[in-house]
Amino acid sequence: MNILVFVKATIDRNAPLDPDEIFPGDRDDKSDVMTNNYDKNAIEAALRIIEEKGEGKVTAVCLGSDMADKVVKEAIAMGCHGAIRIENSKAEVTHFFSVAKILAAAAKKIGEYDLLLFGMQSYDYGTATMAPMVSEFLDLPLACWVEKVAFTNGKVVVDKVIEGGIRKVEIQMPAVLSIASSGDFEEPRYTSVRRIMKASKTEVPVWEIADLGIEEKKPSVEFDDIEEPPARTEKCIVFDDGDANELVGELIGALKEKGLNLGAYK
Amino acid sequence: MAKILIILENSKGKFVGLTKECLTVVQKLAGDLNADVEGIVLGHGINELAQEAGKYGVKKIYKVDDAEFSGINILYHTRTIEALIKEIDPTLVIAGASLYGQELVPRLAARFDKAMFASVNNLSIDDDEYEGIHPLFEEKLFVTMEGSAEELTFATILGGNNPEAEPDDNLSAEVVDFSPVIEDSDKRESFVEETIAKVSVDITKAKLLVSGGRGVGSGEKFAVIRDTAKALGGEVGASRAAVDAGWVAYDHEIGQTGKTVTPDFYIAAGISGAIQHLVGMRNSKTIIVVNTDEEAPIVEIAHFAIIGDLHEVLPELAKQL
Ligand SMILES: Cc1cc2nc3c(=O)[nH]c(=O)nc-3n(C[C@H](O)[C@H](O)[C@H](O)COP(=O)(O)OP(=O)(O)OC[C@H]3O[C@@H](n4cnc5c(N)ncnc54)[C@H](O)[C@@H]3O)c2cc1C
Ligand SMILES: Nc1ncnc2c1ncn2[C@@H]1O[C@H](COP(=O)(O)O)[C@@H](O)[C@H]1O
Repeated sequence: MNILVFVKATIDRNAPLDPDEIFPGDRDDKSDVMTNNYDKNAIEAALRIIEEKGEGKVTAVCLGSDMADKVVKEAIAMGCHGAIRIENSKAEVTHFFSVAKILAAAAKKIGEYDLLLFGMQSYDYGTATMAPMVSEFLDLPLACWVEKVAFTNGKVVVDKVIEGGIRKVEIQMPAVLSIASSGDFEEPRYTSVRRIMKASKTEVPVWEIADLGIEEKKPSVEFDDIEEPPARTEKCIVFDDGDANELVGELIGALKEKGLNLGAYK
Repeated sequence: MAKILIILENSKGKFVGLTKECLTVVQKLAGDLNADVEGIVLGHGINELAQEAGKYGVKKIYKVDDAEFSGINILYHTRTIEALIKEIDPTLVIAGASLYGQELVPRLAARFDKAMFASVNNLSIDDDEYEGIHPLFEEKLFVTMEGSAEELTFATILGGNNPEAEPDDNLSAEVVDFSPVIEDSDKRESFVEETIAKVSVDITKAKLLVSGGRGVGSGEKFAVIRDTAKALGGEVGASRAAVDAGWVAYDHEIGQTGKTVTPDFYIAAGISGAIQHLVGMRNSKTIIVVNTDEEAPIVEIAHFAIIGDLHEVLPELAKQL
């Protein structure tokens, strides 16, 4: 079983955001970069599938600048057998439509795969378009928001999240899956400092976009201005000191001060 | 005359709420573009549903009514809608950004080699350009997407940003049968089964909600949420984790795959604040969090937070009020 898992480097959740620097490649500080959270669920799924099968190989694939080295190495430290980074210096290619074409072309170049796993969404873009677009460009069947997988003769049977429940579908491999943040792969494994040290010594091949043979096409929908929502004026008032009786007393007092009556609906 | 094609998502014989929100967006666009609204509805035994779409201003409905469509198969849907697009040549293809829409529409757009307005709050027209705003970084920033209105365009509309369209009994639509198009390669996907919970309680009108998550601990312990809601005169809400665990019925689920609520008070107990939950409750007037973890993301959007064990705090709250 050959699995490709697509991982993205995004700006760390705890780092301040600047509308002019939304790509890790735009920033100077490498510590601001993290693995897109949901991609760890995808890595977890890939590793578990291989472990259960007792054979196979997981390759992490990432389009990003050298800032993303940290991310592919984390994937290796978690247990991926190899990784490929596609150079996107200074974030030249940023549109999801173009990214999907590049990732599909990279998969083609790798050639051998049974499953292509994606995180269910990226933290920065969050368009959730990558898995469906790549599956279309490669003409592969697809299931999104997968919580559980099982295998029967060349097919993968998945449980996917739907509104109000779960849908089970059976799809022929090779196939594309996006992995849910909930369900069997909810808790990605931790990796140790030792493994990260070891992974950081691994050579990760770097591919050039130009070698992937993609025909350039201007996306039909483009990004324009990036803006911040109106800032919230009040910060959360936190009560953390005292027993339940005191904490609740303080809360009720604070509500009263703001003219709010939690007891009004009894 | 230009045409807008709306994909009318349905479940259990009804249009989903998000499709009705999308119809509001479409009605406005139809006016601005001077376009006719046409719709496609896919399923099995959907005669009445197809008729009903007319009440929302859809002029012509393409009905794909076939046993092969009793369960959703995305490849069948993609192929059949592709065929319809080629036949009727719409300028815009639009659907709700539900889980179905998010899986189907990007695939469809890619088939026509198009980018798309992916999960936008709204879609409007300015001169001959479409404009849509898409949240980045879990709504910490927003990007405007733009694209020419002269080209075939695809869009999905996020829930919770537009009111649901109201039916008008004076309106009706022409319903046309459209034959399914399925190729052999589409049989690489097959529907097996699905479970969808029934909805009987409506919590969306409650002024006060006490909502419990995985942090409640067990089905038995979930009683503390019900007791507190009762004592305060509110309704019970829940995260998907609590619903999945079977502690509380789906009717109470709040978020992307549940309800959107905006009560005066929302008390979130033992809920971490995944974005899928936040989108369903972040517009509540006053948000109070009870969580053992001060760093839980839900604290960021709350107005008040008590850091402590919900099993101690909630009974105390009921007592002191
Ligand atoms: C496609 C898709 C759609 C989804 N849609 C939804 C949706 O509509 N709604 C939704 O809610 N989720 C949805 N989810 C799931 C979502 O991603 C999260 O997994 C879920 O919201 C987590 O629920 P939780 O906060 O209850 O649990 P957790 O994230 O496990 O959080 C539990 C919290 O309880 C706290 N806690 C523990 N013990 C105590 C205690 N004694 N007292 C107080 N606090 C305590 C912990 O500190 C923690 O913050 C969806 C997921 C997918 C993949
Ligand atoms: N630049 C990238 N390199 C590798 N994988 C990516 C990249 N961008 C997105 N992905 C994958 O696509 C998923 C969905 O992202 P998105 O469509 O941006 O919401 C992510 O969770 C990743 O698995």
